[in-house]
Amino acid sequence: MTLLHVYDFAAGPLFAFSFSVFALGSAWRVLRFILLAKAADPAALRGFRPAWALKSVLHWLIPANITARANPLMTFAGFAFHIALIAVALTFSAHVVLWDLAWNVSWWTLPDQAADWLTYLFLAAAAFLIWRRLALPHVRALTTPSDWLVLSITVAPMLTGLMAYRQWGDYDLMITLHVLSGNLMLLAVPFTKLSHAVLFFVSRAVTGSDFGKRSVGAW
Amino acid sequence: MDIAKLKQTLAGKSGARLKLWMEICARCGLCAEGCHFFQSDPRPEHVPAYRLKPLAELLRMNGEVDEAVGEAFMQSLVDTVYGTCTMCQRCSMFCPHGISIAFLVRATRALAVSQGMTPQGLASGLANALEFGNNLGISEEDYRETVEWQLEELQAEMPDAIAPMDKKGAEVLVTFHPRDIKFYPQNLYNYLKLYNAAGLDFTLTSSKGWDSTNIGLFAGDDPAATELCGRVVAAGENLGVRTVLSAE
Repeated sequence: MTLLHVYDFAAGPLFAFSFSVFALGSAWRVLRFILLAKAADPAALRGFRPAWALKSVLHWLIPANITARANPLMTFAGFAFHIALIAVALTFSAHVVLWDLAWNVSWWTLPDQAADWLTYLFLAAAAFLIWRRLALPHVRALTTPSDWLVLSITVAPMLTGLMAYRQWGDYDLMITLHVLSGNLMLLAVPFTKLSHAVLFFVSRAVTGSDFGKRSVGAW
Repeated sequence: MDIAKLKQTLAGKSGARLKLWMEICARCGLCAEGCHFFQSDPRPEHVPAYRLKPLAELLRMNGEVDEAVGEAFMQSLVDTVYGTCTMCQRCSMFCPHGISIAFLVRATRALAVSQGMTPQGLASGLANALEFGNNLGISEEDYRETVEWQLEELQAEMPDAIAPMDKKGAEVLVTFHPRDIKFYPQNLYNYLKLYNAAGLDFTLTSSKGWDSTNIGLFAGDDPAATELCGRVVAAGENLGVRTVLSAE
C-alpha cells in the first residue's frame, strides 16, 4: 500500500464517513441538549426567548460585546482564527474542485492568493493562542492536555495544507497528512470542546434569554 | 464521605445546561476580566473557570472519589466554590460562550452540601432562616416592634404614613433583607417612606415569608432553598397580592 492509496481512502470513503459523523454528531449534540432539558432541566427551555437569543448570538458573532472592548487583541486573534479556518475550508479552490468532482456541486471560491494569506493569518492567530496559554499564568493554570490536543487537531490541517500547497517537504506525504488531519478535525467536533461549533449558538441562546429576562442586555 | 449520596447529587445536577457548559468551556480565561476576586488578587485560582475544576474532576470520576483522598478533595472543593466566588455572574458577561459559571458553582456547592460540608457561617445562617424565618434569627416580636418603631418615626415626618401588616388583597407584598431590620432600621424607614410617597397599595407579612433573601439558594442547599422560597410564595398567595417585591 502506498501513500496514494492512503490518500484515496482518506479523501474518499473516510471523508464521507467523517463528514457524516461531523454533521449528524453536531445535530445530535443540539438535539441532546433539548432532550436533556425537557427531561431534567425544564427551566433551560422555559426561559427561552428568540429575540434575546438572537441578539446575544449576533453581539458575539460580530465583536460588539464587553470582551471585545476589554480584550481587543484576543478578540482579533479569535476572529482571525475562526474566520480564516472556515473560509479556507469552505472556499479554497482545491476544496471546491473536490466537491465538484465527487458530487457535481460547485460554489464561489477564494482567490488562491487570499487563501494563502488567510492561512498565514490563521497560523499567526494560532501562535498567539499558544503563546497566551503558555505565557499568561492564569490561562496556563486552566489549560489541560486536552486543550493542547484539540488545538493541535485544529492547526494540523491548516499547517499541512499550506505545506502541501507550497510544496514544502514531500508533497505526497503532506497532502496525505492534510486530508487525514482534516478528517480527524471533523471527527473531533461532536466529541470535544470543538462542539462549540454548534453549541455556541445553544449556549448563547440560553444565556441571552436569561440576561434578557434580567434586563441587563441580552449579551 | 458518603459516596452514594455524592454520586446521587452529581447525577441529579447533571442536567442539560451543566453538561453543555462543562463540555464547551474553552478554558480561554477571558472570564478573569469580570471577576472581582481576580481583579483584586490575580492568582490563577481566582479565574472563574478555575472553579469548574473540582466539578470537572468529579464528572470524570463519575463521583467515585477515592476514600483516602476524598476528605482533602472535598475540602479543596469547598474552599474553591465557597471561598472564591460570590456567584455574581459578572464572568458570564465576558464569556464568549455565555457560560454561567455561577450556575456551575452552585451545582458544585450542592455536592459539598451532600457531604454536610456547608461552611459554618452559611450553615448557621441557614439554620436560623429555617427556624426563625430569617437568617439573622430575629423573632417575630422584634420584627413587628421594629416596623412599628420606624413607622412612628416616619409619621413624625409623614403623618398619613402606614405600614399595613397582613393586609389581604393588597397589590404588593413587600419583603426585606433581615439586615435592614436588625442593623439598618433607617433603610426600613426609607422603604416605607418611598412606598407611602408613591401611593403603593402594599402590605408586609408577619409570616416567616418576610425575609426574601434565600440563603439556601446561595449555599447550594436545594431542599432548604425550596422551603425558604415556598414561604414567600405562600405569604403572597395567602394575602392574594399580585406582586412580591423582593429584597436586594
